[in-house]
Amino acid sequence: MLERLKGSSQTDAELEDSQMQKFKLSVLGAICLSVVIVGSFFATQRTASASSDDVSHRPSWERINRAATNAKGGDPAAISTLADEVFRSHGIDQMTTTVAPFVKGRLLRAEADFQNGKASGITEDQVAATVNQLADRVNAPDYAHTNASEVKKLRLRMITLFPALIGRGPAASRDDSRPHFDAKMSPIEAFEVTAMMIEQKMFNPEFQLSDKERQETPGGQTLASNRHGERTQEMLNVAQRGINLMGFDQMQQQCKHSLDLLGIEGGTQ
Amino acid sequence: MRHRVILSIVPMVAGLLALTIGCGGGGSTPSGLFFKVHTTVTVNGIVNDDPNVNVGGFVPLTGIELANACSQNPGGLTGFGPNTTDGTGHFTVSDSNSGVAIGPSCEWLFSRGTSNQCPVQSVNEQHNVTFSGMEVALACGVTVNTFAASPATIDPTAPPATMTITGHNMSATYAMPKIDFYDQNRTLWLEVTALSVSSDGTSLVLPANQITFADGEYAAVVSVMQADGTWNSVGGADIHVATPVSPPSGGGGGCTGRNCLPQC
Repeated sequence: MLERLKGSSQTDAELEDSQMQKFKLSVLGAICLSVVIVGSFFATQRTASASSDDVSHRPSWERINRAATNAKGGDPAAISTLADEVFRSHGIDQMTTTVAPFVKGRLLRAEADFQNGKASGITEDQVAATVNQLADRVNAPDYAHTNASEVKKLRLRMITLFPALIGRGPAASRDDSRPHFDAKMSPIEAFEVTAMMIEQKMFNPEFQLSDKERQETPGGQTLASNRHGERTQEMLNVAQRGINLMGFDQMQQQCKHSLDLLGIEGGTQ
Repeated sequence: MRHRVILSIVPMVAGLLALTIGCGGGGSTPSGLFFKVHTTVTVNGIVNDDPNVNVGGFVPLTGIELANACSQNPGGLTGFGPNTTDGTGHFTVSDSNSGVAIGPSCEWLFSRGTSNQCPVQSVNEQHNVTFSGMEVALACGVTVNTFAASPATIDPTAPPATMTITGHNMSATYAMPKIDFYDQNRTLWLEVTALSVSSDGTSLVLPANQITFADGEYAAVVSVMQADGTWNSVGGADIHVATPVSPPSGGGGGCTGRNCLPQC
């Protein structure tokens, strides 16, 4: 199929779209360059399925939260559905299952180990390190970098949107009769938090602040110089430029490295 | 007269030159020039993709103004829509024959419709499309909160007796809902039980007189009891705790500007 798609005459728009898909996937530590080649193909399919699937019209946070509620007992099938919803919310659902199924397998095995109490979970520092490594890789500006404090801020917001996913702890020792907001994240939670942080760095002026700017604007106000989305445009340009410079092998290494930094390992099964 | 003609032709020639010598970004042909729109919505302070939104746009320029502003491809597409963004909120604007109008000050006016997540439409939002492949972010005109507290800002030195949270699925079928207050460091500051819940589960009232926390951002997470006796978190609202700034002491009386100058 890849060869067939390689041979097809893609428009510039489709190729550029594929570049963005490539970036998104590498950012998420998800899949590798083969996705680029089929990215536009799947983008077309995604549009078609969106119009015929009622569930996809529900807000992504509603779908994820519902899936997280169903998965809280640690049922493997429900956890698999949760992972699918997370992938779908970032537009990489079909690609992760068709082109690079090993990613989902790795995530599910790590999630199973966490839920069974065999793995200790992922820290906010690990999420920050993953985001920062990628920012360095594409030579992104200072404000694209983050730290554990900013990850905490994001998680506090995310708990109002995904209360069944954020800070729930492992099923093996969870006691939902008492309130709790766990420091350590499950692999799927960490994946979602990382992806969300990247999106905020791309699109949310409140998170497009350097360390220095964060200290100067503790309320996270939008900078006057960023009122019209200037930093979003800069980030989109940086992402595109950075991805253009990556080859297939580099992309694969980046993908694996992102998963390693996040602590999403192969699991014990 | 001759000068005027020459002056009017110069920008057009410059535009054509730019196209022929490949200033269009990576040597793209005019037919390959495109841009993308991306619809987003901010929910509970987090930016999300906003899929399946109607979008449209046009360039409100013609003639020499168009040639000047959109000099990279003045003959390209100058309008589109309504079209619907895909499952991740993207729509690519392209034309297989002429590409799209692009240039250093190529002003497009975009409109976007409402969506399941965004209750308002935006009309004629201006963005310059300056290069091929550019992504134009069309954000929802309002921020959305799945759950909202009223009041959302609390003075910890004088908290209100009660607070109302509006949202959904706040059922009191098996027990009154619980509300937990967390800070950014995941510390639980308070757990309270709702005083009352609306019959449709869209609002509840809780005691708020214990919200005497340190200044900062908090999340009030609502949990409801299930049929099996377990608790399920259904959503949460942002709470801002802020102690009002005291007026400056020393008898100034809060005067500002000229009023603070020494009186003769």
